[in-house]
Amino acid sequence: MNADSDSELLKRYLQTGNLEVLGELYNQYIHLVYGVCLKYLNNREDSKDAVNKIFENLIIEIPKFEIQNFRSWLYVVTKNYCLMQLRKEKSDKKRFENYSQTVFMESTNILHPIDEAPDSMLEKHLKMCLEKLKEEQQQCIVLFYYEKRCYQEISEKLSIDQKMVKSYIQNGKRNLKNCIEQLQETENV
Amino acid sequence: MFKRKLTYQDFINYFKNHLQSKDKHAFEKKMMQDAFEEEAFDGLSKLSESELENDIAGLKSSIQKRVTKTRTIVPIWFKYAASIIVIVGIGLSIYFLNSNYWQDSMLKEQVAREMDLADSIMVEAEKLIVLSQKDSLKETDMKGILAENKPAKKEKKQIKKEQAIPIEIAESDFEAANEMIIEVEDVADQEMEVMEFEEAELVDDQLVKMATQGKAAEEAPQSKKKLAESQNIRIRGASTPDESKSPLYVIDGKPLDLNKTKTIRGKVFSAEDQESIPGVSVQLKDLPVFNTLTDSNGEFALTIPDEDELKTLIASFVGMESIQIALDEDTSLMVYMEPQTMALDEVMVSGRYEEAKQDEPFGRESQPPASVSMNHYKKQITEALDYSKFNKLKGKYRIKIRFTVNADGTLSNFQFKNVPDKVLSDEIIRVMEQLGNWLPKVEHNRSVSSAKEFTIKIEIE
Repeated sequence: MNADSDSELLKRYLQTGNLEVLGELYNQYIHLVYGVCLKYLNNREDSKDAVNKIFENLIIEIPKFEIQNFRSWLYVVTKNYCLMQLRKEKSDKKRFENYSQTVFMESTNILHPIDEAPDSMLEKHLKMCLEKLKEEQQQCIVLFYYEKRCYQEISEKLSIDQKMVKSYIQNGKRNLKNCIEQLQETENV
Repeated sequence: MFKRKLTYQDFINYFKNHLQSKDKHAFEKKMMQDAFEEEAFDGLSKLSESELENDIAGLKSSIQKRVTKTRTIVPIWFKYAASIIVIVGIGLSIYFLNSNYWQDSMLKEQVAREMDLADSIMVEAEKLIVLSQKDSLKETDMKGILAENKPAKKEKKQIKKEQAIPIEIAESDFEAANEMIIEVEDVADQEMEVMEFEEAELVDDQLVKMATQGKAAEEAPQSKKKLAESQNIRIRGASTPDESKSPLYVIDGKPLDLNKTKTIRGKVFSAEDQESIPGVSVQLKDLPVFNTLTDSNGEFALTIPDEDELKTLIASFVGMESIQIALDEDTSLMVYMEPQTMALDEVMVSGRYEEAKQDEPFGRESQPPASVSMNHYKKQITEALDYSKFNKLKGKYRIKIRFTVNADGTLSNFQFKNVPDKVLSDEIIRVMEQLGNWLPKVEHNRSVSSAKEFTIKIEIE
């Protein structure tokens, strides 16, 4: 499950060319690959096809690259595959646009300040910024991170959809981050 | 909790609602920190838990299958080699289909006969050679060449091999063969004489040489081969000058002289009604290459070799019994053909009438008032319009009208496309309502409301 065993398997695959090894490696991520495909393609059958095709792509692509982190590489491969699929479907152009927007809005790769250990200065900034957030975002962030509620509870409490809860949290996080970075910059200056 | 990366099991537990709120929160928090998991979460949350489990299990097994599938290692060049073989195969089959060499079984037969003939010529030639050799026993050298029977037989075989182009050989006639044999005899008789035939010169020189050296007996097989060649050449040489005379066709093993021909004339009638029959195929029984068709008057003229062996004609025609006609001195014939008595197989022609489908009894589409045709209805509209209301809107318009024919026949929900002004569309609605209610669409014996659409051309002057 960790990067070590991943690179171990990958190394073994590259040495032996044994597909079973690659299958074992891929197996650990099938649910993630499938989930990402579902998100973009929005269709079970297409997504299943995609999972199989991505595996075929791996067989071709893996020898071409020096892969440091298989997991994140697989993520990029999967995402690219899905975006290519969407681009291919001209008729579904709109769907692509809709998704590409949310994708860029919600993507969070780097550890967010809110996930890190508390820091007095940071805490101050965080609170200031939290005040500035839109109401729903603020509510969701507070409930999730400070009261440690899960999506379901938040959605019941605020009577909004679970998906919206997640979206509010992610967008709130993004806004918080921008806000805090601004504050830090002004202070440093 | 969840210090490590989330596993598939964590996802399943979460989606199956097996977790406490606290754990759910932890899962969600962890999940949102990783873009891969987060997007996967978005996707997976679209499915129900059972769908999720089934799909993942299916995918895992399909990957497993893919992985364990024993892949036969096919070299890269295999594809190319296979396609080349296929192309060559197609090419060859096209070539053979186009070459008519096998199509004409007649020609084959001909060739076979001619080969026999050529053989017979050679056998006779051989006999003669043996004879000539007996005659010239005293000429000891030549005796050496042509002495024993066994080598002579070998020679025969060799001669056969030499004659790989049998048709050419066959083209030589008896004269040629005889001529050749005479030549051979000459060789025996006048051993030192130079031969007249250019082609034979070299070989004959050699024969002469051998004869003088007395080694001929030892080198008999070799010289025989040479002799065979010289014969071969001479046969060809003899046959070329009078090729027009050479028989292309043989009958009963004898060549036909095509210079001696006769023409058979005749007329073909139907025995039933005494009418002449055009298009009847008339051919020689033994040599079907000589054939013709009767003309529009049922008459034919067939030129055939003048041979006594050829004494039967066959006339055949679709629907008539083929008839054999014996030829005698008479060269003009009257042929009567009987209709074919063979009965054709009985053919049953049956018809089946299917009742109109009863699925939708009395169903019909909506119709304009008084069941007039759509064109008539459109005309009624254009005539009834009050053009004075919109005389400013000059021009031609193609207006698309959509509306609903309600179950009671009234019209509603008018929608217009390409209409220049509301005045015009209002006027159209007024006129259509004035023209009366439609006959509604009927389904399963009940009137129902239906959408209707048509385009109308309106010209305002």
